[in-house]
Amino acid sequence: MEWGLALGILGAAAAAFLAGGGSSIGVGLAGQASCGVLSEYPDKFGTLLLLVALPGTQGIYGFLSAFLVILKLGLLGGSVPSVTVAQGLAIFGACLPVAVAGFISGVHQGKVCAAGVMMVAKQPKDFVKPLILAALVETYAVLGLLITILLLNGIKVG
Amino acid sequence: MAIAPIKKIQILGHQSDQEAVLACLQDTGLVEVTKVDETLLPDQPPAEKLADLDNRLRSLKEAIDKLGLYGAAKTSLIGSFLKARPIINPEEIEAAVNSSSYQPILVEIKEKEAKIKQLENQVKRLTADFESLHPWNGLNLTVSDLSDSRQTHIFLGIINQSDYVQFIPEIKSKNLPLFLELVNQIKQQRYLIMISLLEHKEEVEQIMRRHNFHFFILPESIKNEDSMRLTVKQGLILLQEKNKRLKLESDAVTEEIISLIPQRILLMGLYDYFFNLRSRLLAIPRLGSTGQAFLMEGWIRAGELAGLETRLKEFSALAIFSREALPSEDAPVDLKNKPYIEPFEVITSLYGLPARYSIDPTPFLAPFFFIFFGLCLTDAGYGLIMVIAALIFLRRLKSVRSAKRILNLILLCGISTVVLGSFVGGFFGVPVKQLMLFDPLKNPLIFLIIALALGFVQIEFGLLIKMVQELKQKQFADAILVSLAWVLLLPSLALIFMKLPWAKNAAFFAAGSIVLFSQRRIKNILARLAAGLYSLYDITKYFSEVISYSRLLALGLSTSVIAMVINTLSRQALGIPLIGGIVMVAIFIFGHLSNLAINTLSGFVHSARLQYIEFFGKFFVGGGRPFIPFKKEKIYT
Repeated sequence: MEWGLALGILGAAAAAFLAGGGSSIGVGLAGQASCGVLSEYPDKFGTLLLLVALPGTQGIYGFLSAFLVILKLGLLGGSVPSVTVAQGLAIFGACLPVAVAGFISGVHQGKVCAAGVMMVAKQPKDFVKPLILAALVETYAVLGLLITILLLNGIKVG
Repeated sequence: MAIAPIKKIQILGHQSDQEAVLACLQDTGLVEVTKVDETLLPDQPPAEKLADLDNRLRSLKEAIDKLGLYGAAKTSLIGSFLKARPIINPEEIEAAVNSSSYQPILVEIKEKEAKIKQLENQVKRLTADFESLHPWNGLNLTVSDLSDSRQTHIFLGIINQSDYVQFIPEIKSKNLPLFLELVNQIKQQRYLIMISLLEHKEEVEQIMRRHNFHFFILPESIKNEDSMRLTVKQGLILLQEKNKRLKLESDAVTEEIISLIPQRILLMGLYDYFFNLRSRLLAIPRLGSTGQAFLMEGWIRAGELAGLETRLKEFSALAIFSREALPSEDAPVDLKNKPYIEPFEVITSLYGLPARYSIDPTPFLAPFFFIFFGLCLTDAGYGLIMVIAALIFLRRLKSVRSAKRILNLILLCGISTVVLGSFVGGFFGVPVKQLMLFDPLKNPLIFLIIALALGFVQIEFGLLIKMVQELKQKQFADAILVSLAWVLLLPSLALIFMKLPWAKNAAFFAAGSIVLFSQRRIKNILARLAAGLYSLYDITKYFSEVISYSRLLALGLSTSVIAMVINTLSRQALGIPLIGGIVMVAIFIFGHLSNLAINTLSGFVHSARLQYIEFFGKFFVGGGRPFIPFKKEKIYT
């Protein structure tokens, strides 16, 4: 296998595992908090589910970027184009925004959501407010995803 | 449209009408009853009546919950959001209240519940006895044989294997007249029976204790008349039979409770009846009273005043006054919009209501939210699912206003997704080439420009609203010199990039006006100009706000790419031999449903955020108090 291809795969992998890792931590934090609240108020499951699911989007963004790279490199069958080292490095670099921004924002969005879960326990009617606050954190993962998509779109392979 | 005008209403009437008037107000649900602040004596609610109601409510709730535990209709996750409520005839409830015919039901449920508990405890005890006795089933003695006779004492006990090997030699070395038999062994446990003479009882017992004997005492449940003559084995069978009988008995009682489940709806209706009676009593201290007459104050939507007056005509000794709210009064805020705008009130209310003298942002945010949500979801198939789901639920539930609003919002968002999805997305991840305006995956820049342009329009729109508001409040200088300047500055800055010659001049004038006038309230002219210059720095804020709308592209792309991925994966699953087809369908359905769920969530949250932060920041004044009319609460029905 050429170095260029390997670098591209490294980028896809980084996007998936870093953003996914951030989401895992975030969903984990919110999930733990909501279990505590659910033990007191089992009927709040539906509302809390939203708060727990929200930090999961970073992982999806990372997965999506990785998949775009996989399509670009023709790894799902079809002919694998020849990738130069520079192109591979470019793909790797293009994956970094979603990977790093996804990781960090996933963790911190999880913290906001966990705090939001506590809030819902006391103010059940205001459950959208923590959702919006959490979305403020997510902005940067979305922007990271956007740049990754645009960069990948700009890199011509083969 | 916008904020509904609210009037203050005062009702003066004879004390004897008080209860009926309150009931009428509760029935119509038009008036928010506030505390009378005059120096009239506040009326006290009858304390013993309230306590009695509390008791009734408590026992009704207990009964309803208990019947719920015995399998009254289980609801699904979605069902718990939108449960269909039982409908009960008010006359039926009235009759039940007057005749107290429901009391026996409550007593019956309570007694049956206690009976089941008792039976269950018995079953538990018998089961435990059965289990402890079971290892001894090899004993070929009757139960009465196992108690002491005149000369002998019987030991039953359990000992560990390691203790057992030391115990046997020791007890044998004593040379006592003993009968010893190993009845059973399970794992490391040895079950022993020993018979000694009564005179040696103490000595034997000491040795046994030293070797950690665990003495077994026959359970009480076997030491009765019926089983005295039975062997252990037969006793066990008897226990089992008894247990079975008890279980049957408790099943029968359970059946009896289950047969009461149809009564649950009546109990629910009664609960709501008493609950509303209670809230009427609780409203009494808010009224003023002179002993002969009562005074009631509250807020009412101006448009509904006439309707209330006709409803109250039946009371002859009643005077109704109404007037506009004074600025100093804490009047509530209620939104009123055209039917197709009304669903978007959900979004405004989630943020908090606007202040009384500002404007309702709902009609302004509605078109933007509508478009943004569609762009975030961008899949006509998903939109179709939302539309169908919303229609189904709308058909199923008729009356609840807040739920209806949300369903209508889902319906509208679904429609937007269907339309925009067919133009820039696809149908479950499959692009429909004939409809597509452009492929966002190949030309993300076009999508990005559309997103930013939408953002630009909304921000400009927000600034315009602010300007119009300032004009209405006659702050002409602020409106023209500052707000209008901003409205002009942003597009002219954008146009400079397109190399339009006059754009530079326009931008220059607008910026100049902002520098000169934005901080007019500062007296020192130099400080004022410096502060004005600093205000220009807000350009970066507007810039970043426009950029923020690029999330529409990212979210839209993420939905369609994930949908494509799901299709690719499910197509690959077809390669699996034998079950390939099933796996493919499973991946397709599960994948698209979860993609729909997560992207609806983020589509909603991000579209709302754009309203709250980028749009509301321009003109919105919050702090309105919601209008909460005194009305019938429906807890169960």
